[in-house]
Amino acid sequence: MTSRKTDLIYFLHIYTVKLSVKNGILYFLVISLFLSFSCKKENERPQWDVAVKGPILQAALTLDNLIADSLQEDNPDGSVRLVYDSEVFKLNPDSLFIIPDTTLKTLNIWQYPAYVVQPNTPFYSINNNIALGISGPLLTEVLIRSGKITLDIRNTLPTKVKVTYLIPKAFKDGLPFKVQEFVDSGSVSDPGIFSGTYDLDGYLVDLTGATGTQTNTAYYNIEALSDPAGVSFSIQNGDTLINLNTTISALVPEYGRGYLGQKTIHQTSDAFVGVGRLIRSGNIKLDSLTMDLEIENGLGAEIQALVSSFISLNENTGNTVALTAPNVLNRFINLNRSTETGIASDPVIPTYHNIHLDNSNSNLLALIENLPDRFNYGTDFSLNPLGNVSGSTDFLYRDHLVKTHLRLNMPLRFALNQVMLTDTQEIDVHDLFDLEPVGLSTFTLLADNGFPFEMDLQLLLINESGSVTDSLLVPSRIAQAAVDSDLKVISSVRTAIPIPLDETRKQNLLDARRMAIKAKFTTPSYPDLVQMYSSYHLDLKLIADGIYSIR
Amino acid sequence: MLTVFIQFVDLLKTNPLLFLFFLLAPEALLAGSSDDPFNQEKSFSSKIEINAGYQFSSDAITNHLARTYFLAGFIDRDMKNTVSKQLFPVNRLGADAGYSITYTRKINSFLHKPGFSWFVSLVDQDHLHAEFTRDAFEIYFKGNSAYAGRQAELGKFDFFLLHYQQILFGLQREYSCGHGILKYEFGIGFNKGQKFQALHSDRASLFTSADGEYLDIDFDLTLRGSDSLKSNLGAFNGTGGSLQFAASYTDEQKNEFSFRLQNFGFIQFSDQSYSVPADSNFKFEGIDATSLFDFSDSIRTPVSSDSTYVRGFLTRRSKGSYSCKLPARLSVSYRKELPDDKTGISIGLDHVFFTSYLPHGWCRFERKINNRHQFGVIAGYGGYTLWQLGLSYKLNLAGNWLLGLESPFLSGWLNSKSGRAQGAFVSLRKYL
Repeated sequence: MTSRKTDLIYFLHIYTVKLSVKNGILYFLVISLFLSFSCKKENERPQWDVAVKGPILQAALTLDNLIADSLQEDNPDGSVRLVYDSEVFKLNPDSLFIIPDTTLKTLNIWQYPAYVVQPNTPFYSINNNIALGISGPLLTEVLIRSGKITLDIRNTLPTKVKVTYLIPKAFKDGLPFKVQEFVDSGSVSDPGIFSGTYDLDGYLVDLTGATGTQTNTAYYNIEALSDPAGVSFSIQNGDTLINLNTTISALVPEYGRGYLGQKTIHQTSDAFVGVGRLIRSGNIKLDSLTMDLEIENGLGAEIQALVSSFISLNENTGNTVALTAPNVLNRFINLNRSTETGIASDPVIPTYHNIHLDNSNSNLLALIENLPDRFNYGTDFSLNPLGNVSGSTDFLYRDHLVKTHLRLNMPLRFALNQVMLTDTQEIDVHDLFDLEPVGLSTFTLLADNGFPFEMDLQLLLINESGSVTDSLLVPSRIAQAAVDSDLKVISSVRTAIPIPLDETRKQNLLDARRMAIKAKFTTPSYPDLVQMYSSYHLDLKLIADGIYSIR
Repeated sequence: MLTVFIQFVDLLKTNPLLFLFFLLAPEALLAGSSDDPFNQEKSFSSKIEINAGYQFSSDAITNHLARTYFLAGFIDRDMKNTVSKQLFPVNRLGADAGYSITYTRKINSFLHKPGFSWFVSLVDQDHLHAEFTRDAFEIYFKGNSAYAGRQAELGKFDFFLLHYQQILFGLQREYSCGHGILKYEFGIGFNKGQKFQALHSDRASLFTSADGEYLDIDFDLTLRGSDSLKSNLGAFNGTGGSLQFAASYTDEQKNEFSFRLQNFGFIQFSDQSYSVPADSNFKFEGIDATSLFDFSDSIRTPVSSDSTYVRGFLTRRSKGSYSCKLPARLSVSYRKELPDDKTGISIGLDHVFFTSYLPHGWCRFERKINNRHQFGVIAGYGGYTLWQLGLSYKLNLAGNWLLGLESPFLSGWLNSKSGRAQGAFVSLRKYL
């Protein structure tokens, strides 16, 4: 810039002398040119450095950040208890019965002397049953939640035929299921073809067949009528009067009635807890806890339940602890049938059986101190253990079968020894703030700890290839709050951790794609138990003090 | 008023005698000749004149820093420290750049009276002025680190930038009156607003806690501007009018007394102009990053600075027309031309209203070397800056041309590091 300006001044001087008395316009142009060249910008914006000091990030952590608030309940004195309430088992309706897809062919060939059929004249009619192929239960009635019926008709007669398909005992809104369709005329070599699929959703179907004494059987009627607008035609010996395939598919029952049969359903499954995944290591001592296992029978049939196993599994350590509860495990539990209310929105009054476990009748404490990721369990459910005692008036509603709730209740009173929680966060520093202009700085993490345990908090930067590139907090210990003789918090204690930022760390931050958070907790005087209160909190602040380049 | 007081107190402290010289003893000075020292006006019936130039001046900001800022260079620590040493509690700066072309023609009579001329001018003008506190400069250019544990007073703060074009029509008359010559001039201008930006704050402060744990921010400001989608030369973002009036009397001893009011007017910017009022008082303790540490939920809320920085007060943006006053200059002067017909001395006082300008006293000494060259020296105090010393030069060219060069702020050229004003003006006149 300076040399350019010098050149221009020289240029200006030379030409000023030469043109001094000739033409003033050139003077003006030369000077204007000089002024405009002097104004070339060096960058898009001016740039300078400022020394800034101030807060960047803050976080106020309470128990809610450690434990989902849906798992917490506060006592009147502010102490917190942990309540885990989850549905751990639900009977699969398909395990009771399914209605398989069923196809039935209706074919009739005239084997008598020829005769003439006048227009608009019925020339074929049949009543027939279709067995639904249900295995086990003997149902007399079913309400269909969803399902299809498909009719495929082939007509080889020389006239158009009107086919009426009726299921007289399948009603919806007071009307039976009925289909009337015309099938075009045809020949043996070129039959008239009709295919149609119809919804059976919401139909209440009587499954007692044509006689009213059968089970699992629907009854239907087919009638063929000559074309009302056609002409008379002759049916010859060997002519096909009707050729119809009925396919019932994808039937899902909403409700069924009849005898549900005798059946034992063995189910093994697991319920996700996820504690072990969060807590990677360390020891926990708990105070006391209770577990209630509530079995709900919504079936219109007696059931007999048996809990064969209940195992706590820590996937991190691989440790398993099996429940020991002599009064519960491998003992039959009988549940009476539910009753119908007649109210569509809430059709069933279930029956219940509650199993209560605590420190006195089980090894529940050891089960939980294992820090389970999952509860694995095995259960047997026997249906109608006494047979058809209801006279085929069993019922089931698809959404009201058999299920089990687990409710775990424990005071949040524990002792921790080097218990480590870990988590990994996706981060993109670019989204949070522009780090590029940050120069040599010192960030300070201020931690006001109001929890009665000390923490070893580490924030590890992980780059795109998954390598840990930096540990931001050195030292990483955050002192515990001041506590009284009952280990109850009196006041928060502040710890300041300086985090110098140089070019290397800045680059690590810019390259970071994830941040691993490791927090290790130890309560005072382990294994003395410490009660948690909802008012406990940890306040974190990140303060910047350094150079920022304005660009 | 406080700022005016501070400036004059400073003036009195630095050199009260010179201050009195400018303001109280004009009769001690001699005065000079007219605009054209070579007196060619009377021989021609018309003239055309082109003017161009710029000025930047401040009582605190150095040319070096201003130049680096406007040319988007890097402002280093030395530049900032130089300004820091010169800062007043309240400071100001002003800058103007523009060009104009004027055609003037004499007419034999107007309303049966002789001595009239009419003129028309086309003007393109950029104007900027600002008023700011010492702390505002320190915070803006150096950061808040040095303010840990104390409060920075950032208001009152004013920034105003205007770019407009003007067409001016006017009449002049020069005639004998008593034993002297009376000249007067009246002009009316039509203004086209191209762009404006204004930031005004009556109250603004920033408290930085000693450990940097929090910032207490308190401000009441209004940001205004013209339609940001249209800001080029063709943009017609506002219209307005302005008046110009001047009068002078020269007696037979060649004492000339002048009065001039220029650019007294306004521009009404269109209803597409925006206004962002912000009045808030809050404590900033960092962006809430609690969700980063949420072990209890697998669904995290992303941490965003937007919700923290973009507060409600910045979203109260509205559109509406806005009337802004033009920088109007009022000047009075006295000139005495010495009997040798070569030397003239002037003294004057001017003020630019509706800006952060302070009353400006000046003195000019001009001497013709021969019939082609005239040199001048200008001294002054006030305006946007403090002391000024400048040079002027006029050249009578063959073919009835008159070239003028002037820089009222030599410090801009001589003291590139700590000088606080610079400017250059060039004019070219052709008699027809």
